[in-house]
Amino acid sequence: MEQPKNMTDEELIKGIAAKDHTALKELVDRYQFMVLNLSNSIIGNRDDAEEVTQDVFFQVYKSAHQFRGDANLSTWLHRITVNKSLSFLRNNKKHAQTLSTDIEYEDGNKIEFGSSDEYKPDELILKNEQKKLLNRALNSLPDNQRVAFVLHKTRDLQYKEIAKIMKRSVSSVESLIHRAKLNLQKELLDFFEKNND
Amino acid sequence: MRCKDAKKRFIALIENKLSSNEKNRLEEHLKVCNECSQLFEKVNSTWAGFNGSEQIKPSPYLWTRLEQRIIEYDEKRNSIFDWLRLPGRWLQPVAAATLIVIGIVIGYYLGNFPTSETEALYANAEEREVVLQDFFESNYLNTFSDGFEGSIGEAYLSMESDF
Ligand SMILES: [Zn+2]
Repeated sequence: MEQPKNMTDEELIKGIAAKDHTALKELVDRYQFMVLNLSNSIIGNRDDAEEVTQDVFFQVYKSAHQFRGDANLSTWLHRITVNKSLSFLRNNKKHAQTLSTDIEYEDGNKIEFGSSDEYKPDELILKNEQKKLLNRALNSLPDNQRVAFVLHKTRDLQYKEIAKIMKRSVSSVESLIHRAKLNLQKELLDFFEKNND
Repeated sequence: MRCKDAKKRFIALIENKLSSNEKNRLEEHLKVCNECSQLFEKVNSTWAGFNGSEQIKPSPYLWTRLEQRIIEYDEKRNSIFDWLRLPGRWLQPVAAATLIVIGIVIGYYLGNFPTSETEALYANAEEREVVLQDFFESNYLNTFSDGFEGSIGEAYLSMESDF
């Protein structure tokens, strides 16, 4: 049998459908970064995104036998990630609301700022404030605007691909992203006008 | 250009989506209006945060935890198979009848699912899964796909998903 590393996505899915754990591990290695970061962009919390990431791959394991070859694996994974992230938010509404006003940043920050000799606390605080503000603005959007915007802006996907993931027309995705930007602009302006120093 | 109209065009300017005429008018306004230009700088630098979004690294324990979970899932799955085989063939008509009843209930649930625009995104696998799992957990059963083939045991097991 072929090494999982050399297998195509489609072959991996077949392996997973046959309950091959090494095939699943390879799929996780290939896509965990994408799944985790997409979920984190939607939820705005690292630990929760980790939990959702695990759920996404568990779902893949359970339903790999239903995956149709004509669908794109990446589209499918994006969709499961979006759905799991949104349902996480819906099931943890209280939790999510506290988070949106007070998001904590853990050790992940150091990765972002490179080696420790470049480490600048002021910059870090500024970055964190900025991230908090962006998260809060994102959280104020209706779900479908937020999802379309995040897929477009942080995943850098084409409208056509977003349309497939969200099962919508390209023009409706375009309009969601447009409205998202206007709403985000309004949120940011409101914030800065209220906190004018 | 009035301040109000200028502010509405900040993101469009940042993303280079304005016509050259509008762009010029906005830039002229920003040169003369201190309030707007300060506000623009703040919005601009904040918006940049979307571009260099933080990329986080997966925990090294992700796979270990996931593997544990699928091992437990496989065990549970196999034990249902065993349970179905154990009492012999007489159970199969009972199981079949149970499935039909469950099918009707699922049909009822799905038929009542939200269809508004906002809900459309979830009115698929994800949402159904939550509802159905809650429903079936008490029976120690999992959801199944429509049109199962093979043994009755397999019908208990397949997870539904939307793709
Ligand atoms: Zn002005």
